[in-house]
Amino acid sequence: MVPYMIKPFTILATKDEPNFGTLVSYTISDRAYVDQEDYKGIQTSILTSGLLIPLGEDIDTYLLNYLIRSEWIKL
Amino acid sequence: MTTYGFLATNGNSQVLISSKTKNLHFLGKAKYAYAVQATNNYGGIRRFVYRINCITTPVPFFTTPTSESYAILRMTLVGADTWEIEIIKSGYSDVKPEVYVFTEANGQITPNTSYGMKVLNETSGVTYDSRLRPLIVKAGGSISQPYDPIPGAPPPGALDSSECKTNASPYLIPTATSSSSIAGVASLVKPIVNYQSISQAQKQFTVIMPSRTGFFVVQNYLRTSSYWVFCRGGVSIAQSGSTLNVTSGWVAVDYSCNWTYKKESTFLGIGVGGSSRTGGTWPFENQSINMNPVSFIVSDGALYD
Repeated sequence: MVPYMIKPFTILATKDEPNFGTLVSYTISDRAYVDQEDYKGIQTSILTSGLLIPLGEDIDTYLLNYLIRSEWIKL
Repeated sequence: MTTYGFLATNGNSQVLISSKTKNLHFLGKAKYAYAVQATNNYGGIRRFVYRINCITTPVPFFTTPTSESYAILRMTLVGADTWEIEIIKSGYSDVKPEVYVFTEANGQITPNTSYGMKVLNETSGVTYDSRLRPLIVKAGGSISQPYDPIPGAPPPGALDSSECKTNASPYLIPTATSSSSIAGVASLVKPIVNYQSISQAQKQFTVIMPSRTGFFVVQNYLRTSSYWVFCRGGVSIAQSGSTLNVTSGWVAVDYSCNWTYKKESTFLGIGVGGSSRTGGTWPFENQSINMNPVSFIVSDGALYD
């Protein structure tokens, strides 16, 4: 697992899905500089969705790697 | 105790023919009627409707001409004895599966020879007639879809939070699959499968963008868009040697987006009013249901061509 002192995401809820794993509802934000016609500056974007964590996987590690692959967490 | 009847079993004591159960016989091929939906968005969606006349409930089997996912979505009695059979399919191919329909004999199928074996039950109903091309089961089993239909998430900035402005199709393609195989299956010239779409999945990505303008009079904006897709389970089958490979996946059948817009104003930190707007439809969130393994039966369409 990538060492993070503070989790860069928030788990909103979890639900056991028998035979499959744990369904996790999560949210994560990203800040980026934008230069648009109506706004110029730092812009915050927030993503909320769900992800199934397979049986036997650590929830935090799996979700972290998923969000790294999805570019919401930059190394 | 019954002192009459007929029972044929195989070496594993599995029933092949019985006067106590009604065997399925080939009624004919259902004819393609129209397409409910045909789009290349969301990984491709095809919903083909076929029709056939049948006085009892039809049992359809279909070919899987491509490696995409197929399933029976519905069977509806639309006339006195006219049934519609809707087959869903993922992917971009317009190749239509062939639909073979089986049903109980019941006098609606005419034999073309007077020689053969006919089994009657105690009410003289036909349970088996060798002249009517009975269904020959070549393989069977059950399979589940992978829980999560979409393995990735859209990167930051991919989806617009403002009033569902993005075409989310590239980010909501149900590509997840799972596979199983059945060994020792005799060679099939044209595999056909009976598989009902039971499992359902909804996946959504909600993007939110808060923003603020002004100094003495500050205006706070909150724009939210929830992009979603609704999927049904499907399968594809292919034979390799004596192994039958069964792949289960998802077919998108519906999609949309829900958005909200909120605006609040403050003057020197004191609220001076706000407004909000909303539109679209409410989804339910990121769940898959009816996920128990779904049964499938495989036969050979070439026996009935």
